[in-house]
Amino acid sequence: MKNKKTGIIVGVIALAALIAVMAVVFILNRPAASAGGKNITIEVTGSEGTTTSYAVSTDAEFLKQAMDETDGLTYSGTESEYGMMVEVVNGEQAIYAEDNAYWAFYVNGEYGQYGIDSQPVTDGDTYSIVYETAAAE
Amino acid sequence: MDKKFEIKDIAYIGMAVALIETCKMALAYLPNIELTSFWLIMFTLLLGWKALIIVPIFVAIEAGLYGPHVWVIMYLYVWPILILLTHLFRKNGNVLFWALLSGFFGLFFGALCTPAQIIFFTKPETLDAALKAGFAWWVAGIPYDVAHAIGNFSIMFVLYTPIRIAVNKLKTFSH
Repeated sequence: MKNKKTGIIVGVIALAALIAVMAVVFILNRPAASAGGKNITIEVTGSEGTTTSYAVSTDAEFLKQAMDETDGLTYSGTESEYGMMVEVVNGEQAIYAEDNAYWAFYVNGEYGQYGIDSQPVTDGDTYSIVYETAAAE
Repeated sequence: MDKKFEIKDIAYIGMAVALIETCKMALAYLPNIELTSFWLIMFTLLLGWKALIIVPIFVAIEAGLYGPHVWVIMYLYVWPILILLTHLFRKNGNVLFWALLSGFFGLFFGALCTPAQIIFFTKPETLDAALKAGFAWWVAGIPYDVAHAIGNFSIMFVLYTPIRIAVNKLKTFSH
C-alpha cells in the first residue's frame, strides 16, 4: 500500500517535472518570430487558379496578424484543436466536408509546418494560400 | 470478458463513438481539452481489447467531417497505444494512477504523432532534415501537449470514480 502511494507521488512529480522540462524546451526552441518592419508577400490562389498577390509591410510576428492587416484580404474559419482552420478566403469557401476542398498554406513554396496562429513571419518570405481539392492530393 | 463480439459489445461501441464525437465537438473551442482519452480508457475497462474497434470508426467519422489528412494516420496508431496501455493496467483502481496515465498520454501525444508527420507530410530528403523537421513540429506543439496533459489529468481525476462505478455495474449486468 505504501509502495503504491510512493509510486503515485513519484508519478505526479514526474509529470510536473516533464511539463516543466518541455516548457523550457519550447521556450528555447520555439518558432522564431522577429518583431519589427518586415516586407512579405501573401498570395491567394482560388479554385479557378487565379492568383492575387498582396505586398505587405508588417510588424506582425505570426501570419494570422499579417493576414488581418492585409488590405483586400478577407478570411474566416473555425477554431480547432490544431489552431484556426481557415475555411473562407476572399469570399471563396473550401470546407472539406461540404466542398471536398481545403485551403492549403505554403511558405516559399514549401508546405507550411504550422497553423496561421503559430507560423512566424519572416522578412522577404512569400506565404501562399491555395485552394486545393482532395483529388489533387 | 468474452473473446467474441456480441450484440451488446456492438451497442457499447456505438455508444462510445457517439460519446467521443459529441464530447469532441462540444469541447472543440478549447484546444486539446478533450474527453476522447477519458472515454477510450473507460470503454477499454468495460470492453477490453474489443475497444480497439472504436478507433477506426471514430477516425472514419472524423475524416468524413474534416477531410482526410495526416492526422488520420496518427490517430490510427496513437489512440490504440492508449487502449493497449489501459488494457495492460486494467486491474488498477487508483484514480490518481489513471489521471497520471491519461496526463502522460496527453503530454506525449505530439511526440507520438511526430513520426507520421515526418514520414507522410514533411517528406525530408535526409535523416538529419527529417529529425530537424520533426523536432520543429513537436516543439511548436508543446503548449498544446501541456494543455492536453493538464486537461487529461484533471478530467480523469474528476470523472474517474463515478464512471468507473458505472463501468463495474455494466460489467456485472453483462455476466
